[in-house]
Amino acid sequence: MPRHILFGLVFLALISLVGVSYYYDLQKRIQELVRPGPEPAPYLAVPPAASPSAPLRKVKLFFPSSRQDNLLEGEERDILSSDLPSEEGKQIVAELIRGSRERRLPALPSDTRLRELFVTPQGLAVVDLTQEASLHHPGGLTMELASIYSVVNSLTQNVSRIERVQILIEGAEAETLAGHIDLSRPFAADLSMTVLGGTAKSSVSP
Amino acid sequence: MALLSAGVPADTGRFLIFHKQARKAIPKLSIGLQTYLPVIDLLHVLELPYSESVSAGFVQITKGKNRLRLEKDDSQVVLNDRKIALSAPVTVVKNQWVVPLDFVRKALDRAFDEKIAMSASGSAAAVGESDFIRLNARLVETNHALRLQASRSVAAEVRQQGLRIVFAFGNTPVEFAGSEGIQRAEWIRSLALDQSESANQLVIELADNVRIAKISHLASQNAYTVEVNRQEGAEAKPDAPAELPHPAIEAWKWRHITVDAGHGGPDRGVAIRENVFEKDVALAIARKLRWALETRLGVPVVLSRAEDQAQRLEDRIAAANLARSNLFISIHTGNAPGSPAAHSYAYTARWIIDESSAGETKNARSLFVPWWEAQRNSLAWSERLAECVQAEMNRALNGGHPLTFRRTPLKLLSALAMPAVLVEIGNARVPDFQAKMESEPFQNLVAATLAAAVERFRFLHERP
Repeated sequence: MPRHILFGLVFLALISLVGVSYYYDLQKRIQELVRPGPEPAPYLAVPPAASPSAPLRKVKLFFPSSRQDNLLEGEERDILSSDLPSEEGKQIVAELIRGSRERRLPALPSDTRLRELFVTPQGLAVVDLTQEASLHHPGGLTMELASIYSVVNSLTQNVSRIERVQILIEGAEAETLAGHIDLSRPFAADLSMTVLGGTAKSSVSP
Repeated sequence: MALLSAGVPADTGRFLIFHKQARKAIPKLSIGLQTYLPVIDLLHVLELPYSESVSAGFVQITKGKNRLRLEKDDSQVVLNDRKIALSAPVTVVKNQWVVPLDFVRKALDRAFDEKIAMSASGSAAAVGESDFIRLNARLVETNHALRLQASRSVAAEVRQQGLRIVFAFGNTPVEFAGSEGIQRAEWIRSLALDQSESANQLVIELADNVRIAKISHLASQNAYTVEVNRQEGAEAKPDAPAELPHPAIEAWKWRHITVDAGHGGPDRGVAIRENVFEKDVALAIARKLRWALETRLGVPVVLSRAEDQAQRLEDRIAAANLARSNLFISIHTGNAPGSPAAHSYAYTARWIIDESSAGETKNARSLFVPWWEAQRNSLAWSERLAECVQAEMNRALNGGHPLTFRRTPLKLLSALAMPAVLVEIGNARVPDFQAKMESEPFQNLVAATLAAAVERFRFLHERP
């Protein structure tokens, strides 16, 4: 083979190699650009101000049991500790919205967002949820009660400065979450349907 | 309470807000000598995000980094930890948050990104404006001309409608500052600023004995002039007196049962399966129960909703209480994904005990029962009714299981002033039960079971 043709072929091969490498590199970059980022945190208006370098602390969240109705079961999570009860409360509600990691039932519809959470000096936590909490709720009295007390018990049991919880929907008092339970007044913890580590007793039997 | 005792709240017209090239009006209230505005309406117009709770006694407005917090019966509001004193306390009237008029200027203006100007009369506010354009009217040219002087440049659309001249200012915030010598001019019948959602105009009505000669716009002087020539004319006819409406007379119904089909309209309740919802099954059972009760007991039955329509719980409560129903049964279907059983339960009211309301309730009980606890006086009978319903359901629907009724903080039941139960039929998450819920024989069985329970209860209730 004449030498100039050999050089030409080698040159073409090199060009092709560079082209293919560039193509794959470009494709990788495009994929990185279009790849969806991590799921946005379930906050809408006010993300928590807890410092990412703050120490972690364990909390026990309560989710409706998938084995028995009228039962809430605990799951541990780590949250960033904060001096502000509202910042810890926001992380707790966000984790409840993210859902169970142990195949328990959802505490709230997964597309719910937390609009605001603040705690009054009297120990009342006001949890302001978007309308999806109500619109996309599966319904039924049992599930409604479980949703409410998942939030109430998770907050009151893990944040010492929270004694009662008022749930708002889209910034205002709602009649109910799913047509049954009165949301117009604050809820105190009700551990009668909650498994804290031992057995639970039925909350609603007279 | 001190505030309410100062006077009965009275509607005193509308408060106009100029915002984003539009005009919106909200009601104004007068309590004693103070003028109040409904703050939630105001925030909606200004598109400000807020959280509020009447029972917890606060409103919090969040705008960027600013947080403005209002507490019930407190004449101070807190803007980012800074207290601002108002002329009167924030309060709640007819379940509506109201704030004194100076809240707009003293508090909201500081929390809002844009400047909010108030008219001198206190009847309007303008967002994004430093002040209102002030209009002054005075007679000139030996009293045959009227000069409208604006405090700054203003463009009006001038319309002449017979002896009526209209200066329309669109969405420009203007206010009428006063007049000089108008009272002496017999040819001017009236001069008034007409401001509402539909109009923002100065209207001049002329007497019949004049003819408009010229209307000029003196742009460099921010003024308009109206010149007239005198003529002879006729007087206007007096207005006819308005007819007074006759009050409606409502006939009272006596001794009947209310059967309530849960949910309705866009509130579909539990999705039993595709295109089958709790609201439909509940309505079907409610209709059958009406027939069963009327034929079995001979008692008239009222359905709280007779078709697929949205109805608020408070409206259902009000209708039953107002009609003085003797018994209330609400029909729902169950949804318990955590349970493999399809048991039916009866529910009665329960109240959430918290320290803030406990004292209130105790005090109130000595004189009156709070409306949201109207059920307390009937609770013992409601529980007897629930026992009857649960016993019949255990026999006919629960396979003989000795289940007990449940107590839950139900919005619907807690405010009813008669024996009342809510029943939840089965479990929509149990596959066999989904088809059963739709079937006519099953719905008839549920209706017959509940009718039997009511019959059993009536025997107890009427026994001396």
